[in-house]
Amino acid sequence: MKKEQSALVRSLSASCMVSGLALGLLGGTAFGAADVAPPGRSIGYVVTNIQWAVYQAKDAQGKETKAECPNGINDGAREQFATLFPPGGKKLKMAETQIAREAEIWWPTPAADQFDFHEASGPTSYGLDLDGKVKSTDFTSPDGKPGVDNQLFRAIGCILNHREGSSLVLFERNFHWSNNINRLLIELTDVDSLVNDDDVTITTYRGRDMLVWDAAGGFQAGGSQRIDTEWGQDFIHHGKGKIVNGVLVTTPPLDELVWPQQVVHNEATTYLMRGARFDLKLTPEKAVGFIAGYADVESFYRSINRRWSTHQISYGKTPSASLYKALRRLADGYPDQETGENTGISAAIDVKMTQVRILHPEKEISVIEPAPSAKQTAESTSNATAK
Amino acid sequence: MNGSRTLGNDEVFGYARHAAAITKVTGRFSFQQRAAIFVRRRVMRILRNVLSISIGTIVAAIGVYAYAASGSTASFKEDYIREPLPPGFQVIVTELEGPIFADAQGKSFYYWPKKQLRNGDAGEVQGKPTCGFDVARETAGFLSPYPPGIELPEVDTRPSCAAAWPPVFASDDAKPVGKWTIVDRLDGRKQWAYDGWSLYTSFLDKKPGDVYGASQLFHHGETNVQRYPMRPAPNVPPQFSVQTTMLGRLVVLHDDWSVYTFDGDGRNKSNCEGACLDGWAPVLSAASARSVGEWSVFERTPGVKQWAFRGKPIYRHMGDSKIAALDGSDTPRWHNVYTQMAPEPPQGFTMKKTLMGLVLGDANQKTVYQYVCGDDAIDQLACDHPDAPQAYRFAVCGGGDPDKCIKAFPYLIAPVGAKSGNQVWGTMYIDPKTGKRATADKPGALNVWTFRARPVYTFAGYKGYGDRKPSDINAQSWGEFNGERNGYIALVYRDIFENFDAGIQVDLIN
Repeated sequence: MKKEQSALVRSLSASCMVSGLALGLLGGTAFGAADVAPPGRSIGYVVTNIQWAVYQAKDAQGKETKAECPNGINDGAREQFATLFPPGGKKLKMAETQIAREAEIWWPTPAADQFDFHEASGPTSYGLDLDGKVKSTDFTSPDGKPGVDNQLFRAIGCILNHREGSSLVLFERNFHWSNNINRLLIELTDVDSLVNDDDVTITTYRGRDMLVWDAAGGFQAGGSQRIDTEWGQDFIHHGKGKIVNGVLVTTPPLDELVWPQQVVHNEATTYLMRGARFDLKLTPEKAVGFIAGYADVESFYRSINRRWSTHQISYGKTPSASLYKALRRLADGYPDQETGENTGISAAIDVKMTQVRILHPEKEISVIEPAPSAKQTAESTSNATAK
Repeated sequence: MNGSRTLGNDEVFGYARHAAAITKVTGRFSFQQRAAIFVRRRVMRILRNVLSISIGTIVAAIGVYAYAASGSTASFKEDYIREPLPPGFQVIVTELEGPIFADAQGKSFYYWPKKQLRNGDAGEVQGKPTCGFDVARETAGFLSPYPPGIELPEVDTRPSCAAAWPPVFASDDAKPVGKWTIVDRLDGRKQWAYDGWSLYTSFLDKKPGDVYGASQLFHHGETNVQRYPMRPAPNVPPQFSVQTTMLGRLVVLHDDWSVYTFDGDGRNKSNCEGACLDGWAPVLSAASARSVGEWSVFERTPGVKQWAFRGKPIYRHMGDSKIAALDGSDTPRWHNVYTQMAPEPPQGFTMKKTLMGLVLGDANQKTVYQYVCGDDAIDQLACDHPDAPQAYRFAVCGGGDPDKCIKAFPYLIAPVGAKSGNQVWGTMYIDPKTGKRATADKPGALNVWTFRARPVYTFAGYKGYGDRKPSDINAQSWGEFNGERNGYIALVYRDIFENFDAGIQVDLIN
């Protein structure tokens, strides 16, 4: 839809906005139809589910085949320690064992791994074509699109912690749902239609508020989220995009996207993706799809390890130092200007969002302060009048 | 950072001149008092919008102290309930922890309550001291994934539990007094206990007022099964309690919700009426409650009584969504309540905004970290100070290499002769090759700032991953168990997240 929208269409849109708003107030959603402008030509979404996209093959009955992991699932830190230092062996010393292992986790190197690391393989992966090429290392998406760049899938696809149903995925999801100030918001403005619009503005924020659940255990559209402008400046990104057949794409990709990923908060961790592209199917109630780009290797690795240290990450068998080597080995973008080493690895995040009303600071309901005296009221009125 | 820019010299010096002018007019004020003059929310907003994020950061940081400094609390010390003490024992009102029991030499008392860990429990139950003179030589395996039975580092020089935590022995003719009792040790000697908890001192404390052994601050001192300072009950009405925070001893309700005062109130008189009451709930007293110590009861309306502290009516903030919050103090003229303020950081430190709240920064606004560490032995000794084995720290800060450590996590260097003026902040000479204390004349020794007698650090990083801009806090929870067991934790003055405000102790992870 062109910006040179006719007055008639705008008028109809406005009518729909009003009626949509009314329906929204009654039904809990912001507006009714996708092919008209949302109220105020803007719409917001809050992330309710977010995880690194890992394709897990299933058979006709929906049972997992693990075809993408022909060599099996990787061992974790606990298993690797037991391999290196079998029970019943010689007397162990901290400096040579536990402390040495922790040193490898916190100061990993890309040197050759002493353990077998099982990369995910096969023809299929979630993600997007980031470079416009179809290469031998690329995948095909489950719906048949070639050229999918997702080397992160190779690195984490056969680590239990990153697969659906694992402790890390479940814990992070649960903590994400049960805490505030940890969620990404996407606000679209200058929107004339959620079906086709060749020019929309995209802004991301960190949201401050809890999610709104519906009676069925899902998330209710029509809630509100205050944006965190006080502490969350790092999460504010601006970009442009377009909506094509109901799918939001970024044009061009965002240079950087930083989003919060926290557990009990005190770790205060984030992820960084460069060249971030949105591929989100929009409706008035939801936005679902992928954000793909190049995950910064160091940020990815540090973020997880700061959030989940060796004890916790052992539940889902992450071999941290081995994973780092794989990340560095498979990194395929954003070469360091001095060393030439790739600092980014192609990746995709699987995102589910629910529509919310995004409250900007000036639109927030202000904290109620003591009622001003008559004199103060008069002064304030006088000031307002003077303007 | 989006929306931010570097300040021009005119702006920087303009701000400094403004500050200097105010100081000149008002005389020499404390950091808190200066802050109270400068900071108001509207000013902050204007500064943020008109100048830059950086200025806003500085102002907001000062604002923390402004909130805290309301009502001239800076000069107060916490009152406590007097009770009979055994001969020679005393109460010392310490700078960070408030009133603490101590022996005749002023050595602070500690206790060690039992706590369940992943694979077992450690600590003591009431009446049964276990901290003895045998040296623990192996890990206990409390914390997976590593197995028990691994020989501890520097085991030949490792102190016993009782050497690190000297028991408060009782003489043969000692007599119980009130809550003070005498318990039998496994080695046959007698030991003082308070409220049933066996008492110890710390080998880290050297002079009266030192409380370096342990703290009630969250993420401070030793970890896992912590010791705590033993304190007399604060003299507050039963529906209140007091928590140790980085800003001071914070008054909260018994269930840890913050309370506030309002500048618009009179002495023992509330002016919060009408719409004000939608945002602020007076903390009412029982009809039979009586004034006690610094706490008074006044009648806000006929038949309805409200608590006041030091004459200021007390409220709850309806907008608080977490315990021990500082959020209400964002509203102009409203303040959190402290029995006493914590000492200021030394001159040259800054306060800055990060994604997790207000955090201490160095002069360049780089996040300041402390190192925390507790070993996995049955006696749960701390490894977070320079007298403990440094192998733990070297593993996480430099992969075992001290040279990498000092590049990635440089010590915060103190000017020669620098003094903090308090016992919480100080300086210490460190040999960076060993991480241990050094004498000033040792070649290569560094004079570093310390918090609670432990060095503090910044995070220069590795492979481009470090703290670059003021909002960065990239070494927060760097290390084992999110940094709580062996790692780095930022010095956070205001934590915006749930249940972690003001560094209050919340036991969520072991």
